[in-house]
Amino acid sequence: MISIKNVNFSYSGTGQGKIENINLDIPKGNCVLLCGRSGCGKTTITRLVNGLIPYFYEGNLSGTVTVDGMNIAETPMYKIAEKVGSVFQNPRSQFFNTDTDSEIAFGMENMAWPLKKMLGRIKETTKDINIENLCERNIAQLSGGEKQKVAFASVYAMTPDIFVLDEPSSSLDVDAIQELRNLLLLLKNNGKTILISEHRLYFLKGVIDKAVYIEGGKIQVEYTPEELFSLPDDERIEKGLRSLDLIHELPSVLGNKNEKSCFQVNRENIMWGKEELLKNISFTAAKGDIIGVIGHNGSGKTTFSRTICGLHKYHTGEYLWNNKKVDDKQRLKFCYMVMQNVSYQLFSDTVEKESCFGIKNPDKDLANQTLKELGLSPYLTRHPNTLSGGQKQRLAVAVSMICHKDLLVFDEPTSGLDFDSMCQVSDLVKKLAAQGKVLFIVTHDYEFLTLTCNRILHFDDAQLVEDYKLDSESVHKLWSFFDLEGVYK
Amino acid sequence: MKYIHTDPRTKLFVLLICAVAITISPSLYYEGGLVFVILLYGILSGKPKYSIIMAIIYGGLLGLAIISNFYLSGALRIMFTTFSDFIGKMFPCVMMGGILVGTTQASEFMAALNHMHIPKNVVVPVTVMLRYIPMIQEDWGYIKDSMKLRDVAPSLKGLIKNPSQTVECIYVPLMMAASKMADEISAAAVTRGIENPKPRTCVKQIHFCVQDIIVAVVFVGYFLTAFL
Amino acid sequence: MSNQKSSLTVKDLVTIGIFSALFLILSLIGGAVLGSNPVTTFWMPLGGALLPGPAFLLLIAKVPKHGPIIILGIICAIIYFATGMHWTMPVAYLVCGVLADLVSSAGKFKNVWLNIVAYMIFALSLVPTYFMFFFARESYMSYMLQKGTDQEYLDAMVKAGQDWVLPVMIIGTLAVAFLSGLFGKKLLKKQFEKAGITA
Repeated sequence: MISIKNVNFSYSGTGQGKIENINLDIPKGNCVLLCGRSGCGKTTITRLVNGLIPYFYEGNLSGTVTVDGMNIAETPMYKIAEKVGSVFQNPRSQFFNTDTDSEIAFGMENMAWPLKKMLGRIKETTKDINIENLCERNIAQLSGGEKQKVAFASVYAMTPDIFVLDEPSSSLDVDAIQELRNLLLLLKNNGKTILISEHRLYFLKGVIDKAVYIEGGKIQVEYTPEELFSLPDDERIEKGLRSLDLIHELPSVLGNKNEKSCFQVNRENIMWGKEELLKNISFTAAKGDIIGVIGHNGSGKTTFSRTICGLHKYHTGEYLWNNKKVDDKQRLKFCYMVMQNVSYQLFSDTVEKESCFGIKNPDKDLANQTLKELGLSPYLTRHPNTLSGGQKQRLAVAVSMICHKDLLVFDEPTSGLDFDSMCQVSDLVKKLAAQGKVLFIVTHDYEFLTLTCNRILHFDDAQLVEDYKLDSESVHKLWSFFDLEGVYK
Repeated sequence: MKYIHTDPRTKLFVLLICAVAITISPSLYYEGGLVFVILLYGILSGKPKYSIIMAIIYGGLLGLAIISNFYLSGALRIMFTTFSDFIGKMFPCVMMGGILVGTTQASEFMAALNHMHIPKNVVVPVTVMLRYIPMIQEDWGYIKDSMKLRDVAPSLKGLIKNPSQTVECIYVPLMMAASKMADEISAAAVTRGIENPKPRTCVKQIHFCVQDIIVAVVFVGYFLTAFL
Repeated sequence: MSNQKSSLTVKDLVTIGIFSALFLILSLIGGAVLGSNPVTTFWMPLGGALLPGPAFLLLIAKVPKHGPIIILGIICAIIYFATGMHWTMPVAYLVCGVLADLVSSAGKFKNVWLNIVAYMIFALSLVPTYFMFFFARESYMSYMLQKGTDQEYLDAMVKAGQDWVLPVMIIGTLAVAFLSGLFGKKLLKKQFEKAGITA
């Protein structure tokens, strides 16, 4: 169905993501996984198949890609689109219309299907994908997972034979990943051919037929699913792959020796409009605590972290820092948030200027020292926007260190990161903790939680459901939150 | 009570009629009458609160113009009368525009543009624009937060104290995000066949029906009274 | 479509859509602050010209072809017509869009100074509404005041309205647009080109 022969490609301008001598055959009805480190070229391969290379991304291409008899380089994009459906990483940027119905119909409208056929197909699609509840909604108001499902539906409705998915789970929460898995199984049952590039591997057990490991733009190994999912841990880690079976990942941080609390939250109620988003939250934290914040979609985790930092005004509780009451403005002085999309936090035109931006009397030595520590010294004169996701994140963290912030909140720091980058973030967080900072990590990433956190705050149903130390005893509570003993067992 | 639903094209037509009517308007009374007709249409279309409030504001402005004409003098009088009758001249269309925006879904508006055979070079940007506006608001929220965290206040005070830094903080992330979004949206659109040369069909159907004719006749009728 | 360099690609159209959204929001923010207040209502075009300069210049930098400015003008026209602005405003956007496109094309869309001039022309779109108002003013006043039009008042109006407000409004708008354009030029050079997001 898909045949890639002797393909070389490099993007014009950058050396990133180039591929060499790729040969790959995917028979009809098969599901193939592309895995490997960030920048290894797996996304590039997906672009060969859906035609974005050479139509959308310019560069040097040699070799041939044939999909269902079509030579991709010689077929117009809209014809490829009828055969190959693509789902991408970022749910925010995949939709074209303002309402869900128009979005689901978007591809069919382009193919000029008659109205009756479209309406029938919309009905089928929403039923198959189980999104009848999302019909006639404003897309801007949907959650990330819901947006991703609508994007999927829009592609599914066009009835392509081949699906290409480029890191579709990156910004999804646990439940949404589970639904993604179900969708993939649905496609398989319908005999569709699937090419999926991913960092998160655990949810693909029982879905894929073959895994292709890519390193430095070349295919290194091809695994059967049995081989992949029985890779010994040391080999997997050496290859930079994420966990294959989450339940085997056990907490690795052994508590916090410092028990003396320095941060206290008392009887906190957080409002969102007229609604009480979180009620009666009280807890304390000590220096060196790395606190994982978990909860389902809409449980108020993000608003909670914005409130801690002093960014959300509508709340009634009391905050103590070193036994002194601190109001919103005072908390802004010592708190910092590393956002999921760190691009919003970078303002300057070079990495060096960024590190001192907005600080009145910047300590240049500290700035240089910090940048060096975080491995950013080689990029001092680069524009922050040209850095990779992980580097941008480290730059934002460097800024917080140079501003002497003592409490840091990370919002989904590992979305879209590969194993190596995840470990780097984890090490960084632990280092910050060792310096006596208080850390909150809002995340859906089980692997990262067990690797990094010593404590868990679990929010749901508008309250703090549980607050526990994370160790080998309490980890089963995490299992039940992530439902690890259910589907993936 | 069931509200009447009119086709977006009818609303645009009515807007056009209002614009022409205002331009040739023979008297203040004629404008007042037009506002009254729009008020009725607004109430029937399901925007009674908005329409009534707007009508009251209009009344207030008229009152202000008349009172200031009688009781004020000099520069103040000019200022007030100019403002009130300038707004008065704009008012009927703005009020109608508000009703149009409030009663038309973006998808319906797009369907109207499609049915009016507006070329793709305009329809595609307009669609993207309508979809992107809420996202600017989201982006602004994030940017505001990160500015506060960096002690660069996103406020008037910060703007006066340190204008170029503050403005740069707003523009840079906003434009970077916009630029990235443009790439990703286009990739998604291209892989779903937007370049197909066949004329696009449209899942949202819009039709003219009896109420469209009635609304159009009423407005045209009122328009014609200007020549009586 | 994507193979012909001179015609607009889907990516160009999407870029135009996104930057039109930014343009509209930025000009509305500036315009609304001044336009909704009796004392400053006549300075609305200045406010409208203040913020969107960088967005305008970045749009041309990203899509250096015939079309983006004209389409931006059409989009502004559609939106302002549908929100019930005086008909002169949409018409002005259409006309200024074409003029600005021509000016920018004289420098093959790569000359930043010509692009700033193009922006200044485009920013003038907000002025004619007031223009028409001043011209139609005399007849308007006569029915407005009904009997016994106050001659002294009309004189004052003519004096205040036509002699200096209009020229100041035009020159002011051009000046503000120029400053906004300069700032845009600075950002382009310092940030956007370096970040690799221009075409």
